[in-house]
Amino acid sequence: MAKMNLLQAVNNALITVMEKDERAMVFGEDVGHFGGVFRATSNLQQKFGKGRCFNTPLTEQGIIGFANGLASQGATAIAEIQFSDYIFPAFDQIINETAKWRYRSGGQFSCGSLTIRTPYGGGIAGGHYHSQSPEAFFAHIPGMKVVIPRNPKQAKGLLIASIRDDNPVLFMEPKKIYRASVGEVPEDDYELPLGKADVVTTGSDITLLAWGAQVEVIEKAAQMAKKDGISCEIIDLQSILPWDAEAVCQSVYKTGRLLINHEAPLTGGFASEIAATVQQECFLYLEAPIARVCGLDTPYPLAHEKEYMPDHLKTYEAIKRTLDY
Amino acid sequence: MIDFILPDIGEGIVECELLKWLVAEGDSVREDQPVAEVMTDKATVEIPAMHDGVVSKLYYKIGDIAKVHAPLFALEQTGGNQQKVSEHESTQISEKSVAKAALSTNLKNSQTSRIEAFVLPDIGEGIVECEIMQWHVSEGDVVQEDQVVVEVMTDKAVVEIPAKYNGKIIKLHYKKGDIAGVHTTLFDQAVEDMSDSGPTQSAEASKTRESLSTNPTQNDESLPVDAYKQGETFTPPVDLGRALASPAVRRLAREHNVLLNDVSATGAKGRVLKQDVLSAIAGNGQADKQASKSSNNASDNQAESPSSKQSASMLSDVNSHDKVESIKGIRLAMAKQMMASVSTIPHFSVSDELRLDNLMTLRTSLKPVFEAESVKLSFLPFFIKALSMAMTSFPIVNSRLNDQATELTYLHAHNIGIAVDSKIGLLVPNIKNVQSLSLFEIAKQVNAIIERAREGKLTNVDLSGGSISISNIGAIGGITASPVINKPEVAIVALGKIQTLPRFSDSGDVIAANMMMINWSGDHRVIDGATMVKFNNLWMDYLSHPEKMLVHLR
Amino acid sequence: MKQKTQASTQQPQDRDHLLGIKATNEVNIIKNGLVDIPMLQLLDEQGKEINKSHSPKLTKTEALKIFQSMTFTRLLDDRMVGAQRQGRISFYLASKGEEGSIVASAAALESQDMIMSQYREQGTLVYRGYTTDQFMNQMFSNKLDPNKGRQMPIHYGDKKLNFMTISSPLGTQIPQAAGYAYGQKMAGQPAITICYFGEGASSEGDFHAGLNMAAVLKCPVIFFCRNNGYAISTPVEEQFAGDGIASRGIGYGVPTIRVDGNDVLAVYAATQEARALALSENCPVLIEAMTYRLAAHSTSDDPSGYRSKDEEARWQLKDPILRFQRYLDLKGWYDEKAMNSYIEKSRDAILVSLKKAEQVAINPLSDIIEDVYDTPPWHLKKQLDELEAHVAKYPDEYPKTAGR
Repeated sequence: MAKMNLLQAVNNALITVMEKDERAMVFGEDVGHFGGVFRATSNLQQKFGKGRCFNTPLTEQGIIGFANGLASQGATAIAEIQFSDYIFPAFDQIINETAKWRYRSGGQFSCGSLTIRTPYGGGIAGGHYHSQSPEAFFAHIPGMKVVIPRNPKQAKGLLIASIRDDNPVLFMEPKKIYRASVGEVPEDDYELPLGKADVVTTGSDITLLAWGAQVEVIEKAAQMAKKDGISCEIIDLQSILPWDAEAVCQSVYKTGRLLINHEAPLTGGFASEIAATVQQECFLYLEAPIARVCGLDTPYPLAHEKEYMPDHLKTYEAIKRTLDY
Repeated sequence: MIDFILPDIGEGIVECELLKWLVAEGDSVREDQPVAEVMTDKATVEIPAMHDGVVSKLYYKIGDIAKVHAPLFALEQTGGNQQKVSEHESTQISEKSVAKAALSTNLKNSQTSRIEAFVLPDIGEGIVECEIMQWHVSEGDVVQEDQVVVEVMTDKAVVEIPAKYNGKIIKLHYKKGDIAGVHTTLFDQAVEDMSDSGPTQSAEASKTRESLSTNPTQNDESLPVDAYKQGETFTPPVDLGRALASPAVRRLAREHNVLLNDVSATGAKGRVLKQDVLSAIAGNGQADKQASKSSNNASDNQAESPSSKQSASMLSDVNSHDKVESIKGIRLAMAKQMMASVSTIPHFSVSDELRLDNLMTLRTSLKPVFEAESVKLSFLPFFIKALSMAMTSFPIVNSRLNDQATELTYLHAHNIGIAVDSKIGLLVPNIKNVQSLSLFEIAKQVNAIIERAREGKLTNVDLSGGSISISNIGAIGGITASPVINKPEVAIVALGKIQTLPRFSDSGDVIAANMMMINWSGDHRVIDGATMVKFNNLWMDYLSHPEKMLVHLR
Repeated sequence: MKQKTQASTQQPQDRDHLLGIKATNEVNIIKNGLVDIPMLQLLDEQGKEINKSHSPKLTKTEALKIFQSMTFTRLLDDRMVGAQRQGRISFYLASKGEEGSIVASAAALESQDMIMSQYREQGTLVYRGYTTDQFMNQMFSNKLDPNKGRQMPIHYGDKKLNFMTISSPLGTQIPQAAGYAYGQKMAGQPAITICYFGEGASSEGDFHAGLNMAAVLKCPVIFFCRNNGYAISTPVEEQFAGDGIASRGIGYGVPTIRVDGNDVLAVYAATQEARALALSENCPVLIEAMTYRLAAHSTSDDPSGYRSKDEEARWQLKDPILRFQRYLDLKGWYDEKAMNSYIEKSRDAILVSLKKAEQVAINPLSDIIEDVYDTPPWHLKKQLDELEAHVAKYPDEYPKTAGR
């Protein structure tokens, strides 16, 4: 075990993979000698050489197009998109190529060995273009997997699993807690299962569901609610696609109440999918409507960032409203 | 010419029985027209023709066993649809339709586990509630099918309730001593590997037949596989203690301050329906549930144990204030039963004395024979058998009168009841069909019944359907009695104690005679005094001269 | 030439990005056409070799194989356009007029080279031995189609023949080819990737991203642009203002050659040379093949709306098959009778294969959730169950999959 922050855990995961897999390559803007703008890829070029860890020109569509070809050739391609706000030029390559590569070829070819890493999320005074949480766009692509860790230990295990999973994975890293989230991380090679949610705390009165940096937020809200005698069950969804509906539903069968928190704007956010599925599966078990505590339907603001964010206070209020329904 | 090959229907079926030919050789058939009915292990299936044509040969007779992969019938193709169909193809097509038909009979909608709520059934004859005497399991125990889960005490008996399925006990809905209403859930059990309620074999087979006959082959919609289950992707756990209800129903319950957990759920998926909530709202104003029917077989009113206990506790009450004891269970039932009997049946009595000496001699001589079979022989078997023989001559004693006294039903079976002191009080179980039983068999049953009564294991069956009752109160004491008829029977006899009394013999000497007083109560609507006396005379004649029983013994 | 220094692991690099740039003292805004990029021709229109010393060394077998492949491609195209008109397939894309570019370039490759194409390069598959049945099965989207009936006709893909499955979005294969080639290089394989696209697709962002990346990352990839004059109805003068596509290659630092796309020998020679260069120097090469799309864009297109018959007639004279036939004839390798017989037999075989493929059923419904991921997750299994139950309820409405 070693104490690591989330960034170090990511770095550790990459080293772990690259040491064992000769065909693993990391590339993107500034990831080479510089080690990435967040230092997630530091020392990789030094350790593994320029052939396996290199800068690419500044073109997200090029990076992902290149990554698609590389992965289909059989290499373990780990591409970085510097900010998830910039992933959109690569949208065509991801949706029309990456996600469909296996299906359209009848299984002859695939991009299963592709992983795209990208920092996402707000809370760093990043404004419109350094704060977005685009997971909902990618949740809508059959063929992609989307994975989001909440802390260093989950990050390392999930990233290693994502890289090794024989399906293209978009691994979204909550940049707000890159350094702030610190924890004990096993130093060995381990994987955590994709497609499975993690029940962080058990409770009986309401299920709180979030991912990435927002898990800490709902935990904080749960502490406040505890003082009111409300027992909250906290779930980290971990995988957005495919998502662990069973775990969430089993929790809601028990508690009868669900609250989902995400930074991304409310309308069409991933909470909508969760709410729709849970109401279908748990219709008779619901004591109150499902609450969604999300960002506003606005571009991510700078000066009003604090007010925009679905913070622990908004979550706490929503818990109370749900319990009082 | 094309042979129709009986296809491999699957699941190891290698042959089927030719039930019916729907056509004859030489008949013209159209494509899809049913040609034969065959019966497999699973179902009766219709075989349709694959082409237009004329039936040229039927390869089997009715009742023959047709082999799979062998020709069933031959067809000369005619008409525009003439296509050279390979044997493989024809097998494929017919396989498809027959397989589809067979599929519908094999339908298994299995779920790996679900909650099974054990609802206290109507135990019988108007019982509406019972007391939880003893749980034999705890929450979390895994029980086997038939394993006793709980003992409940009804109006009549202590009844053991066994588990219907294998599975883990998830929740016990009552504590020991609680009164559980009939039709409420006693306990929840997680049941494994149960098939969802699919149609029975015969229903499926007829459905298949129907669909095949109207629209065979590809057009048949007999595939009832409906995997579209909204909201049933996952299996909820059982130990929730939470009521299921739709939001609309929850609103209703809340508006009326009804706790959903307290409402009986009658809806699909175990949910509380709007109607259930409305019933609960209405029921909240009602008094305790009352017994609707009155056909309880309570004993006659000679139960001293409760009363003696009662007086004892009163005596020992140092503080000398009134003590209130609630009457429930058997005592309540008995009270009600007595009321019903006395208030609706005009009782009259007939008494006589019975000389037992001959019977005693007979019994003494027969005792070793019975003991050799480990059966204790008391007087009761004789009394019982003799009663049955007498009833044969006086069938009116084995009858039922309806409440309006407009209809009398003569019962066939002689189910003779004996009052026994059971674990929970005096009950009157009966021995069935005494008319067909030997003395030996009756003796065995008497012993068994007494044993069961002692252990509190008398069943509902034991306690119902009686023809006539015997109360051997004399075994304890007393000479005469006025027994209360065990409604809906029409007569009851109380036996006094055996006394050795001086009587005159035929020759005028005074002898010591073993005498027993016999006390009949009869339903005067049905039995008149003369009939009662004649009946009793016959019965006593059998008992005082038991050898006379041999004359009419069956 | 700019000097690219190796990165040191210890100290930050000391670079000079002005190295190699001369100064000028005149305000001279450079206009178009700075670099002259001529078109390579080795075969004239009568089939005569123009510069034998630069002609590729083709054996008779090789030459005839090229010729037969081109011929077969044209026969297949003719048949399938007709089939589309008959309503037997929904869509077809013919390569008439471009067989030279396509087949000759494929002929200059090795079998281990990966082909990543756009959509008009069926000739490469013909050359590599894709059977008629295989073509037909894909076009009829039946259960023998390796794509399992998932894509429109002409979206071929074959792992064994190293032909990457085609996708409809244009130009996406360009950066992918750079990546694939990079992988081949890193795996130490003596193989390259060839990437085909039209001049229209070259306007896509992926072209620029891909060429640039290939050049910077040193990927052994041949970018083969078929400049056939039209992107559906858009002529080249409405597609770009620069000097074709070749000028861009130079702009990206990609070694470039322009060829007469209807000249089999030129195309072959250029591709052969490009391959050698790519492998030896681990660099991309851009080949711009100047050719003409005699066919319509697809069966959904009618060119008479945007170009004259005279223009088409002019290009008919430059028909690559005709030109090469003349070449073969001059070499004494052309057997007319044999060729006619081959044409007849091929026509029949194509028709037989078409009719056969037409009869084959489509994939069973259960395939619909396969290959979305490596294994179907729970939610796909559930959706399939529901779908199968639904289809079972209305078998007449879903005759192709009901009961299977």
